[in-house]
Amino acid sequence: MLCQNCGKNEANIRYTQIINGDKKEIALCSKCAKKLGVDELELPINFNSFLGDFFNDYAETEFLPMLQTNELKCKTCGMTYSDFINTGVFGCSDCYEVFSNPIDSLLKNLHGTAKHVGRLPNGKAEKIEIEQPQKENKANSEESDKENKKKNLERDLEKAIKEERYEDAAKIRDEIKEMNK
Amino acid sequence: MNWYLQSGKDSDVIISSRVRLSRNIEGVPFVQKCNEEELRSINSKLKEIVPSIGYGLKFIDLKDLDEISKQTLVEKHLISPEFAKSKNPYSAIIINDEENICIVVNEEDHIKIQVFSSGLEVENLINLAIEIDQTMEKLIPYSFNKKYGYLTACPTNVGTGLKVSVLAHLPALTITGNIRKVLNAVNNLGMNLRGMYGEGSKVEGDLYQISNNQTLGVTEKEITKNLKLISQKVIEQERLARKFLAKKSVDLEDKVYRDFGVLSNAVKLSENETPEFISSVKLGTDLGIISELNDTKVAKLMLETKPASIQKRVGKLLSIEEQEIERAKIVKLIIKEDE
Ligand SMILES: [Zn+2]
Ligand SMILES: [Zn+2]
Repeated sequence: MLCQNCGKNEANIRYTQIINGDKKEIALCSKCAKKLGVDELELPINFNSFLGDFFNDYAETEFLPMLQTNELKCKTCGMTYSDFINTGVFGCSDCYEVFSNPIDSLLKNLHGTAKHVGRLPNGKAEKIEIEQPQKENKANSEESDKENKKKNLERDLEKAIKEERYEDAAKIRDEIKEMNK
Repeated sequence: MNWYLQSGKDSDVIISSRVRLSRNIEGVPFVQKCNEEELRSINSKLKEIVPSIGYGLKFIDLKDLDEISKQTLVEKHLISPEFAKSKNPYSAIIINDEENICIVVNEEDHIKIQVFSSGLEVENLINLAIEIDQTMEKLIPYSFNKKYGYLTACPTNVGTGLKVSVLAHLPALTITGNIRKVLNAVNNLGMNLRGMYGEGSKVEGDLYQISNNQTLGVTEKEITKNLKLISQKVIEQERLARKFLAKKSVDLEDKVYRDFGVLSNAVKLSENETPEFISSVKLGTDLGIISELNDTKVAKLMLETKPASIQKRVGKLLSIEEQEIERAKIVKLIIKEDE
């Protein structure tokens, strides 16, 4: 895992923050740990200022000069970027647009990406099912591919019948029959 | 029987699972920037839609709960300690009798949908959470952005707004000195494994929480799947460590029965020492060494010996010493209880 502060070096120090009695861990490289004065495990510090430093550090090295960024202000809720640095939370939905420039790097740093790929509102949600990891070695992988394909087909078949798409269902059934030969 | 007293899948290691979705209402500032009127309207909007959500959910204003009841919810991990202390008069919870669904209103975000189960049960939970979410989004428009997904006050939750977590009991990894290794391995995989701390810095009762860090740029299925895979790895490691301990069976038997002896006989039990004894007798029970207990009894021991639960049971506030005496009585009762 990369250091959650600089995102460049390999993290080798786990740092525990205590926020209102709730502990959170953050991964840092030894350089950043030293810079932030946290080269010791489980040392309680104030979370908000830590988060602030963390974002600030980012702002300085990665994008706009700090002054300019700090002057950014959300017209809807009145939050400034420095307010955000101090509290670690946004004021309203529009803040995400207003601070889009500085937070993209931050989000990449926190999540590894800045683009949502999950569910959409009012979208169809498919039931989440998790297949168990295949324990077979490579020699069996062709066999298990076939098994998987069959399972998927069976699932499609069930869905097609449920949704009364009988023509599709018939096609899928034939495919399964073909596989069972 | 409520979910937290039931025995679930892999419950020798995984005590419970939780799925959480953070949501905000479109066009309303996040809680921190809300004025009184906006907070009131969020509260009444949610109160209004509760009957349409179903699941036997009831709306309860936090200010209508007494201190002990709030702390009991904290002890069951249904609400956070900070939320229990909230001064916001429009904070509320939406909860059912089974207490496996608890929606928190006006905490950091407007809405926090939470569902719970004993054991390792993340798939059923994620599907239930999404089902509730879909019902709710038809009744309230959520704040959503194409690029960033579901918007949350804190950028650490944005995107899916999804946190999946499990509470794991890892005594053998702790006793054998392997817990650090596992901690590092899990954290290096982008998941968060941390000890559940009580008073002070000691991990209480060998309990650890595993949860996802990433909420953006990853699908709900990926989050759930990764968490399940990592939990299974941890389970595997813990069971290996238990097998190793079982080789020195006389020592292990001696330790768990000594601790069982204290629980069965002590006249006073402190809040700090009790989780350690319970951790030990749970291990003994899961390994079949102690036949006097079972999963439900162990779950009861873990929950009903916490300070607020004791006082709730007695029905009045107790001094620390009174709590310690009461705790010892409750433990004895649970141990002797008939199935
Ligand atoms: Zn670094
Ligand atoms: Zn704003």
